[in-house]
Amino acid sequence: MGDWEYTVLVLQKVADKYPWGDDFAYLLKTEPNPSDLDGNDALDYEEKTGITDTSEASQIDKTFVHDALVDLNRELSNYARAVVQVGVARTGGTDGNIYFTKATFTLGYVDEAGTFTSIASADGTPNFSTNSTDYQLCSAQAYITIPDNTIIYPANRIALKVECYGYRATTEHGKMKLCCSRGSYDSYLDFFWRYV
Amino acid sequence: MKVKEYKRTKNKLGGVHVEEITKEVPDPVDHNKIFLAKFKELIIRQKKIAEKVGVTE
Repeated sequence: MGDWEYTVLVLQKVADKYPWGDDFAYLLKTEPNPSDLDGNDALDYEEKTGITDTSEASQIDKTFVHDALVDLNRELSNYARAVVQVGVARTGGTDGNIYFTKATFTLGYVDEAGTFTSIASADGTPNFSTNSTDYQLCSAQAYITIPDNTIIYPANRIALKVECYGYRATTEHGKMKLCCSRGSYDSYLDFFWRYV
Repeated sequence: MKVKEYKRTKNKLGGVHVEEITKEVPDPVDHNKIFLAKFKELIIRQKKIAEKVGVTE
């Protein structure tokens, strides 16, 4: 059994996918991507344009998967902390507000078929708003309580499902982005784990 | 010219609201341009004085 190790898994996006399940482009990585990966700025965020909901609704829903390079049993600590940086901006012309109300983090794993199974979840509720036409950023975080003796087996990969909730003022239009910049720690999951 | 400013207040949900305010402000002073204009003016004045006193070089 190994010692407990503090681990930060950073949310990153790639073009050449991790071959697990149906292949994953949204990854949890122990180190961020190179900041110039593929010369592709679109890897730095996941964007939802054309927000039409006028009450709180899920706008961005992505599952990030640990791109483990070796198959090992990994026991997880009692708590994990998830952080996401989100931007919102209005795209209409009525000077109305766009809201980023909540981030729901669900910690779990994906099996070899790519199916996600939940272990535990928690919400961060920033209740952020802006009338800006330029993206305004706001981070949300939450502590996830993990049941005792939770082990991620070699047939699975630890995964974090991130749902970003928001809405627009009745007369306005808006957009939202989840930041996962190459070369930085915009959004991440931190916890302890050990090999068992 | 127009500039954007951002004011942070509390919103009705208890979170932070970032208000974008667009303001009209005077164009920034171009010191290089002013210096160049004054320098040209000085050269012209020097030439005029040189002509008056009969200096050719």
